[in-house]
Amino acid sequence: MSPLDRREFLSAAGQAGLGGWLACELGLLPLDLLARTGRTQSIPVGPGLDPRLTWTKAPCRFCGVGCGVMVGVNDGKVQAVAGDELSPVNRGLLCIKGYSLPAILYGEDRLTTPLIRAGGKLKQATWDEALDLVSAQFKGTLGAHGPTAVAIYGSGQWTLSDGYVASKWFRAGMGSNNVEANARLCMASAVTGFLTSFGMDEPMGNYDDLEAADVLVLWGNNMAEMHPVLFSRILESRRQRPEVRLIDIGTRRTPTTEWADEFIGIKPNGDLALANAVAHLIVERGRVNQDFVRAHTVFRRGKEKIGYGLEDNFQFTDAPVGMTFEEFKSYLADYTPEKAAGPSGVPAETIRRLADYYANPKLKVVSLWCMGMNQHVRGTWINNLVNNLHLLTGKIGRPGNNPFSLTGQPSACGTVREVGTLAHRLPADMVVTNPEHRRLAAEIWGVPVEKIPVQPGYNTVEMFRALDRGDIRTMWIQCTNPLVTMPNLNRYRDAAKKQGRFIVVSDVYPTPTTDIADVILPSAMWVERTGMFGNSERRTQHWFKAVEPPGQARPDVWQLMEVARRMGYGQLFSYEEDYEREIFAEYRKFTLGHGHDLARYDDYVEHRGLRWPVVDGKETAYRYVEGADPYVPEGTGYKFYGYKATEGKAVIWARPYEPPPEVPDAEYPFWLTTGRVLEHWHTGSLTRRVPQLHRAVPAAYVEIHPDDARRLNVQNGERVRVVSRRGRIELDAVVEGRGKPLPGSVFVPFFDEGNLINELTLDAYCPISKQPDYKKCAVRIEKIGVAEG
Amino acid sequence: MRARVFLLVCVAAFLGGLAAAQSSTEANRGPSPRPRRLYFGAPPTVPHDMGLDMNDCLVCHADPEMGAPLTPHPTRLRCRQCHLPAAEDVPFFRSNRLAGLPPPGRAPRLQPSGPPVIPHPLLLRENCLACHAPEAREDVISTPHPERLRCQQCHIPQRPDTPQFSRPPTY
Repeated sequence: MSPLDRREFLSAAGQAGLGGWLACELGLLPLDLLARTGRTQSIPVGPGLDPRLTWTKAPCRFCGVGCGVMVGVNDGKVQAVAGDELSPVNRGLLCIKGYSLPAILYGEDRLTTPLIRAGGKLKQATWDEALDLVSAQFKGTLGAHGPTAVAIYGSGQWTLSDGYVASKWFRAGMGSNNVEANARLCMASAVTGFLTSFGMDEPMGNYDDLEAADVLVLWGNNMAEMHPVLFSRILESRRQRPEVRLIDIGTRRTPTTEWADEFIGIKPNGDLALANAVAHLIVERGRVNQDFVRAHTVFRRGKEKIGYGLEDNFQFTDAPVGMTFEEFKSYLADYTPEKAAGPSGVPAETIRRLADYYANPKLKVVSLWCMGMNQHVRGTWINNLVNNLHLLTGKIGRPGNNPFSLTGQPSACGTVREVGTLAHRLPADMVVTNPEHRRLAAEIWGVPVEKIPVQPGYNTVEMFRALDRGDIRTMWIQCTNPLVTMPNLNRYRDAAKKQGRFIVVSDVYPTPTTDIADVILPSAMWVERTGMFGNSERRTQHWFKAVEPPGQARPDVWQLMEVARRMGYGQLFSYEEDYEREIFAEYRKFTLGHGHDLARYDDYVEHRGLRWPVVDGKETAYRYVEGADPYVPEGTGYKFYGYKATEGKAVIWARPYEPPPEVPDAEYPFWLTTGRVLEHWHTGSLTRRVPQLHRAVPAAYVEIHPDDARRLNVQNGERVRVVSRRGRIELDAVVEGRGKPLPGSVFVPFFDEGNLINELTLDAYCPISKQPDYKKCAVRIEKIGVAEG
Repeated sequence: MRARVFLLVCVAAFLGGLAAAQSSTEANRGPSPRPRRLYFGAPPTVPHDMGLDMNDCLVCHADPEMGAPLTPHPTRLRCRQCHLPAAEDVPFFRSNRLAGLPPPGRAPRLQPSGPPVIPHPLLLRENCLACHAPEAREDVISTPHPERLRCQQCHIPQRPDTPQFSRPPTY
């Protein structure tokens, strides 16, 4: 056995410099030395990596694409990253955010010690003081107000173990379902869309669909900026096969539009009418794949005029009824291209052209979407309607023929959807309202089944409303920044500041959310700890800790377990030192045998991720299809086996067009759409601390269409005031920028904590998914100097 | 094993010391006020206004006649995915302590009279002469023999992770 431990090895390799490289070249440094000496592993690294550094693999910390990166470490610090050429996701490519990963660890104002607010001032504290205080607060609130008065608000940036421990502590320990995550703001509508259409969450296809498709339809998705590496795979596919078509549907011309073969501008909520009209044309032209539809689908209709979730304690339960194909056909009669042109804003001719792609049996079509369809007051419906197009034509489950939802966080799928850190969910697509699921969870967690409450907790918007009302008293926020991201932000900021509320925030940098915290806990991030993420194509990826966190920063999962133990729930978390491995092994039990199977921990150590279900050591590239998915019985062709109620058939939904709750009027004549830019990620708390990224886009701005700017007499770069019924901010007007909203609408990115556009947005949400709509509310634009109205 | 590792560390430390001395002399040439890259291996920022039309970069950067630095990867179409405008005049949001890895200096040779090996990955650097032609760039090594177009005939990329060649004994 080697006398070198891992740290010594790292430092030896560092000193070794080029010598080390030559030594490697000469085969003197067996890589399995690393495996035998410590925390890293003998995995092949990509070609040509700098020998001055020691390299290890990790998924990128940013979006849901889940690119593989090689992390180069020297002198205890991450010095460089390189795209992992062995990762099937990105094949060595990165975007500028990915290249910036080393810098996000080293912003000068990293939180390095626990802080406790006393008399309005933050004071440094020891971990013992901070953890004792937090556990006393949770205990006190439980005693005085019961388990519905505590809450945890986490994130799609939580690792699997973070989310799993949070859910277990709350549900099996404190008996509270108030477990939510910011992914509710991000992809909840895709979840309810997949669940109601196919009976199971997450896409059936994978990223290989991008090259296999003949036509790629982006339903409100600025992929060039938000999922750049996947977008570059599409561009490369079209470069090699010029017949590939890229169709961009949206309310704004974006950098993606510049690369699209066609841009289809829609009115807000107009996608509902557009998708129905495409379905109408598929049926009218006799292009329904009758064999597939008869064997593998049923038709249903749910409740209509379902509201917008604007009132506190809003409740909604759908009541689906079956319908026949003939009934479905007559429901579509309202969506002839001519009739749909009005609500969608799309000319009938254009609708016909779009329908041609879906209807033509010779063309393989992938529909892609992200926030445009998900942050939508009818988010579940539009997800259903786009899924419909693939079901009606049978363009599903095969390479290049799939509906595919993209995600914005590295583990929105892995941690929020799969581990189930939403108010109604248990791990592996199970729900608290199902007695059998509760029984199984209680068994694995070793608690009486009565411990897990039947009643779902508060969804995110209702959680912050409950904080405002005082129904929630103590809340722990980890790994996210709701004081930038909540819609109708003024109300929820005031809520968090109220007397009698206790807010704990775990983060890596100071943010507007740590500004209102009673206790701030410094977190270890990304390769400062061991962890796992799950990306948009069902790929679960693992990384080892590569550097020490700064100061006293500790992983979120450690913080949660320490507080739980202090509260007397130690028996739930009786893990040894290698707790990441043990937690995963326990979580894995939930996944086995019902289509969510995860592989063994060590399989993820070795592989560049594996796509679940992983059965007999083999990952599943395409689900629901015989031959590709081990859960589909021989001779059936397809089986949507997650759908018990329909005995394995997918559901084609009749979902009508309904207008948004707040539409422009004389006083507030513009639509406001919010969104993102390539350079910044979410609230910018990481990317703004990277000088190159900050310099590229230093502040938020408001994009205005040139015609509107002319009418308002606003020049490019002029300071203007944007006003809604809920708030007002001043921003620089951008008339000819990277994006161009349609006439009558304006666009503002939300990353800038100094210019909070969410003070203006509306907290309306999809009644089924409970995901807020950040894309539609009414504002006016005022020239500065003009008297405020 | 123990002795072998000790020997290795000694040799490595010696060679590493040489390398450190070399890179410090290179640093003395005077770095530009703001590095064009976050670290060696990160994409360079763009020192000029990128304009509104983000898709025209290749008009200059893929055409040798234009005199602009050539892209080593002309088939990658969306430059903005990785390259940002430098925007020199914007102050920090918060400053950052990442030191950044410097360029590797001269590449080693497998034997003293052999050609240098390639000290970086080849992905996105498929066209060697885009950077290494004599007139191409100040901050990289320029080749004295640009007319010998097939660089990888002699200069081979490194795979430090490649296992040693071995075969089982014949008898």
